[in-house]
Amino acid sequence: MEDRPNDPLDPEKRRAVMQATRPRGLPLLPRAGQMASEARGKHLPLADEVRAIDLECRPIYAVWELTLACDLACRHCGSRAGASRPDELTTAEATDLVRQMAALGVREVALIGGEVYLHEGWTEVVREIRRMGMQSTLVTGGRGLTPERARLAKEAGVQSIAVSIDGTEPTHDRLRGLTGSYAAAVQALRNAREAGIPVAVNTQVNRLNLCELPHIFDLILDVSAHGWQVQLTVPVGRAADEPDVLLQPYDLLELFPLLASLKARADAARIKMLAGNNIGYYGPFEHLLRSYTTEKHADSCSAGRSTLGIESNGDVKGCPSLPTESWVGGNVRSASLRDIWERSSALRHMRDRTEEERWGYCRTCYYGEVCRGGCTWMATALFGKPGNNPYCHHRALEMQRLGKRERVVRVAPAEGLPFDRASWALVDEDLR
Amino acid sequence: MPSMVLCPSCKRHVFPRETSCPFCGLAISADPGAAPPSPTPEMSRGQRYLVGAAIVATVAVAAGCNTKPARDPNDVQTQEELERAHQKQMDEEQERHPGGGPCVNNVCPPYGCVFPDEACDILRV
Repeated sequence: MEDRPNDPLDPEKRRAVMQATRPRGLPLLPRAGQMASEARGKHLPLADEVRAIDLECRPIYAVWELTLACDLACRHCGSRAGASRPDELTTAEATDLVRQMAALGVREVALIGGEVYLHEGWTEVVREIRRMGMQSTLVTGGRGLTPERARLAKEAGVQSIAVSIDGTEPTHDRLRGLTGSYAAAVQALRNAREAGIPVAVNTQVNRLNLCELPHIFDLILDVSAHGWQVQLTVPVGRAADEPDVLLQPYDLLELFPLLASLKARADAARIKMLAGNNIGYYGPFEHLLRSYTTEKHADSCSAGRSTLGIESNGDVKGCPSLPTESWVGGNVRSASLRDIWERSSALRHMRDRTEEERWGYCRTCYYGEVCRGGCTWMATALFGKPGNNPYCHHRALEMQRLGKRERVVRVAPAEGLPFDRASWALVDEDLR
Repeated sequence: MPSMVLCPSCKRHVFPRETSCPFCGLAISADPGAAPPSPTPEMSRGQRYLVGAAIVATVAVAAGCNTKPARDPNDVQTQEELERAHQKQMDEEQERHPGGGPCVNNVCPPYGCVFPDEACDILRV
């Protein structure tokens, strides 16, 4: 199956999607004052008391959008990156935030963007991360990761660079919205390697590249990457503008056997293949895809429990990908990181979840009490709230057993803001 | 989070409360290869520290009882004092290992855990 995975798009449809122009024109970002967080009031009051659970939960991983400035304008970018946010943290503010992270117990800081190297103080931030004893990693689209920048990254202390690769050259260039972006990304991997930095690859899986995953794996072998993280393209930001690119829930029936076979190859090649938080849940390949975890299966959403997300203007969320509008707990310019982590209602959400939050299929699912609806990012992108997630292998298998499948249909477009969402409907239909 | 076991036949995770796999029907308890359900979740470093401290405290108290004459009732630690001592130990442990609380779990970070081995070492506190 792995050698010839089925393409979810028929040739005619594939040709049409590949040739489709951007559905929404650039400029890349709204003017200052129109950002979602500013428009909706992010500074809710913090709780007076810190509870035991708030002290028990510590952010192990921080994923930090250092800047929204980007030298790409990817057509599936959730944050609609391009121009920097109008109110991004200065280098001094950023290094202070690094020290707050260390004091809070963060072990690893993954810098993302935009493009990290477009922030004027990125090497200083990396140096401070290392000085404070935390791991420093970096995620990039790779267009501008020149040998010189790779050398600077190495000197500053970056310990691994993950480059996004989304398919064969035509598919990658189509998704990234720029001819030559694939070649640049591959060159970025080589530049990092030559600078002495271990490299990894990140891949978003969607209808354009599902059948190209074996090709990406071959590239990973070729560039001697040590890791490969795969996750589904989530319909937020620009990805919500292109519904034809997104997987349908029933495509998981094709995807998971493919991922399992690639995982076996990765294990044999000593490459750490990691299933992202929206790859799940509890199907027959779960123990393989999450063999690197203690329990050999996914946990429920870790946002605000062990994961911390930061936007480039200092807005703090439990997960970097969650919509700004409803998941920002505060801003480090108006409160300390510790106070936001321990006392904001948005960051506390996942610590206080109850059975009542699950709804739809997930409400009565066998795995509901451990899974809790899987990835909050995906559920929220689709329905505006967590607790029900049709992008689930177990669920697709159960639907198949009943001769059914689920299909998501966009009923209203997104606004055009970072991490915004469209409106979607879920259609139950007979399996064809 | 409840522990789950892997059905050796269909490779689905099932709850240890099951007597047979809800997906393939295999009798879970009848299979010698099936992993036994863990009676309790794996303890965090902080929890292990506390258990160890409690054992040491118990042994110390027991040893004291063997070697010393009975103390004045006012000299015996009350339950409240013991709890305070435990809380102090917990606070000190939290200070030393701020990431070692029970919320540490086996999840990968968004955008990729690029040091999976090290991360898992962290998570297996």
